Amino acid sequence: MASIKLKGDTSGEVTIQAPSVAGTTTLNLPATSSTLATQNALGVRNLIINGDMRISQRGTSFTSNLENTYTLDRWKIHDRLCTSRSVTQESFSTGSVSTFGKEVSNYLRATFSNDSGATPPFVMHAIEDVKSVAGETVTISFWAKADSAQDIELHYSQQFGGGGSSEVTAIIDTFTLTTSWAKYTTTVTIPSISGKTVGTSSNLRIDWRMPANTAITYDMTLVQLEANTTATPFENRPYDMELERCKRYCYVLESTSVTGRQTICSACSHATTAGIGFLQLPVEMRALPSLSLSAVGDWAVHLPGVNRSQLTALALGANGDQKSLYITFSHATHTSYGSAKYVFIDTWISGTGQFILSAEL
Amino acid sequence: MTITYKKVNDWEGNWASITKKEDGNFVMSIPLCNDNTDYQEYLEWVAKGNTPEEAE
Repeated sequence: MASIKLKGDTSGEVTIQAPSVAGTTTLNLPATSSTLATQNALGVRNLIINGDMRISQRGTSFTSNLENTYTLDRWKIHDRLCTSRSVTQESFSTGSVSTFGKEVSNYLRATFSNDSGATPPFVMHAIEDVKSVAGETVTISFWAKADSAQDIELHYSQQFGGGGSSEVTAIIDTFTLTTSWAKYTTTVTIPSISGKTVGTSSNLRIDWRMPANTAITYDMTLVQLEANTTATPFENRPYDMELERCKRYCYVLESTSVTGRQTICSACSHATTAGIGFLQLPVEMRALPSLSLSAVGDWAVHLPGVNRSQLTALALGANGDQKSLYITFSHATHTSYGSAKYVFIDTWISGTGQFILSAEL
Repeated sequence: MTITYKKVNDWEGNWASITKKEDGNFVMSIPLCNDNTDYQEYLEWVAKGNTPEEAE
């Protein structure tokens, strides 16, 4: 078994060892400069979920108050009460490989103006469990641009959750953006949490803080955070894998067809005005989720073969868990409904209605 | 914008969830779950001396 040793000019050496079995093994190196990751190189090394901004279950445009509000999946905004703000999921036309080295479909665009100045608006991502990379060196990489040359700051914040220790926060780096797409990387050691108390819903938060008192249109995609001392190429994860990971935190059912209705779940009518539904969740969610709706009146209870009745109230019932939920509902009195009638909950009007289950951090 | 909360009972009369309202309008239904961040917000609201509306 032969080997080749490459010795550094001042220190260290790399050994390339031939396999012990007979035969020829070829290792093809990339045609362009790159990094060959030798640690944490297997799948799911990117701790950022939806780093390429492909998934946006809640919608593709957000323009109302965005203080402490999720937009694209896993991406939260603190707009600090700007007088105007918006977040959109934007699309690239084909050919983006010439910029990014790979075809990229989407990016996040955040526009802020006239913030209070005290605490500038920021785009943030929360990684579940403050223990995830505590005491480790991580490298964050992302592609970004702005509508003019401006500085943004990257911060981390160790959130110890309900009942836990106080947050630990610090600036990681400052970047000067240009009006052209560019890749930015930085490496930081996240503090140890030895001696800290970890409470409920703890997380490591990364903030992209915008300049204060300055209007900015900020574009970002291909965000990666990895336990590594250098940035490796953006990890390609299949769409279905990424969508399932997003659904651990948010699951949206909606009716988008102008001709069809979205059925949410089967249910049982137990009175002429009320019933209870059972909803099986597609993945185990991080916690029992909250339920928000476009409007209660967007939904109806449907007795097959008889009629539909618009809902007047809807709430989570008892005995749900992270895999399944009970939903209680009320509707206008209808004599066709009653004890143990099998019904559905669906949208009242075709093409309307959004049903959001959130177990976000 | 005024935030209020109301307890919601299930069909057997047991406290099952909380409804959050903004200016009296439904915002979300919140489970009684310590890991849910909306429930943690509710607990902070109560800790400040506020009282939720009782279930009907």
